[in-house]
Amino acid sequence: MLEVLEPERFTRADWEELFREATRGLDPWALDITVLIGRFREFLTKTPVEMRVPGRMVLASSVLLRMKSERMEGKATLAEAVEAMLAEEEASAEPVVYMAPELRLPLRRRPRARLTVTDLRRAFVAALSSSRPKGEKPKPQIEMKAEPFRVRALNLLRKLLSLVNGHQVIPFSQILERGDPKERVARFMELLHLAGTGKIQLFQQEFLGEIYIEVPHDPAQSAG
Amino acid sequence: MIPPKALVEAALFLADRPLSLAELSQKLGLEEHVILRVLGQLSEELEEPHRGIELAQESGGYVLRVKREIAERVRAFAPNQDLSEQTLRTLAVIVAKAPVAQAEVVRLRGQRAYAHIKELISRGFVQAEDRGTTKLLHVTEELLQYFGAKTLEELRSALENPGNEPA
Repeated sequence: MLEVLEPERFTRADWEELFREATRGLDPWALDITVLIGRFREFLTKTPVEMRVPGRMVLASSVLLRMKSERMEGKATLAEAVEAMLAEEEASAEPVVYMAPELRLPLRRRPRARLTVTDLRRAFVAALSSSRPKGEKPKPQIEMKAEPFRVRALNLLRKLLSLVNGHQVIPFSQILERGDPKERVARFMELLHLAGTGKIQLFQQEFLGEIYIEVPHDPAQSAG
Repeated sequence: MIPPKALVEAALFLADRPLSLAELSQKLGLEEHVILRVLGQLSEELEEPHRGIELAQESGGYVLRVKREIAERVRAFAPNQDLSEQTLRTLAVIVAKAPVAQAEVVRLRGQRAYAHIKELISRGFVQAEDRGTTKLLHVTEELLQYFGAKTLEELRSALENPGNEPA
């Protein structure tokens, strides 16, 4: 009949010596159970103590022994070994293509501030200050002479005729009073009008040079 | 299944214009009576004083908007105002002179006022009444409600005198 070993009795036994003898020279991860049992039986026959240890206990003990030895030698623990093994397996596995989830941006509203009476008042003041009745024309930036353009052009022609004095060609610079750009433009526009209506002729002898005004032979006819 | 109330609330939150019952029904695939029921629930919930927005009716549709009494406090978070500046100016002129002939508003505000008036009518702020060759423009009850005024005179008074803000 198999005697069940009580823990107290087991601890009293020289179990460390027993394990050392039983597992000497064996690979703890590849225990040859036949050798182990043979050594155990041999041990039992040699020792006067009636003690039997279940094989499962021997296996567990051998694992614990290995863990202890590894710890003492500074090697990786069983847990670390398992992790390393898993990592190795993972590395050798086929790479998995990562499928990114469909990108969906959250919908957000574009905020628009609610108007207040203060806004309305400000807009009212702005509207009043910027409103210009349709009929009212803006004040001209350049003061125009009261005389219509046509009248001014005819006056210029009369002036030209008075200046002809035997010569029928007058340089543009001679008809200017002040010579400022504003006057130059005004006189030139009037001359263009007169030239367009055939009252005078304009020509230049060189590019960007003096403009010459040619007045026709019959001044009275031209002035009419 | 998404609860109808969540759908309606999300649609109103996103839209930058009033949504009609028909549009909500068609686009959300909900019966109109269901939408009306959840609109009532939403309106009731938002009426609570601790809520900052309200459900309002504008130009025949429903819209979520900030409560008038706190609009000024949160203005900094919304750079774009509800109406463009030029349209607001045209509205201010209409408020000041209503009922006013459209031609008079255009005379004061220029040709672009036609587009402003069209937008204001579509928003339900202004009503146009045919008067021969022109139209007579009135402000609507919705506009008064929007600015928290009971009468046009009250709004006009607030417009002309700072400090006479509607309660």
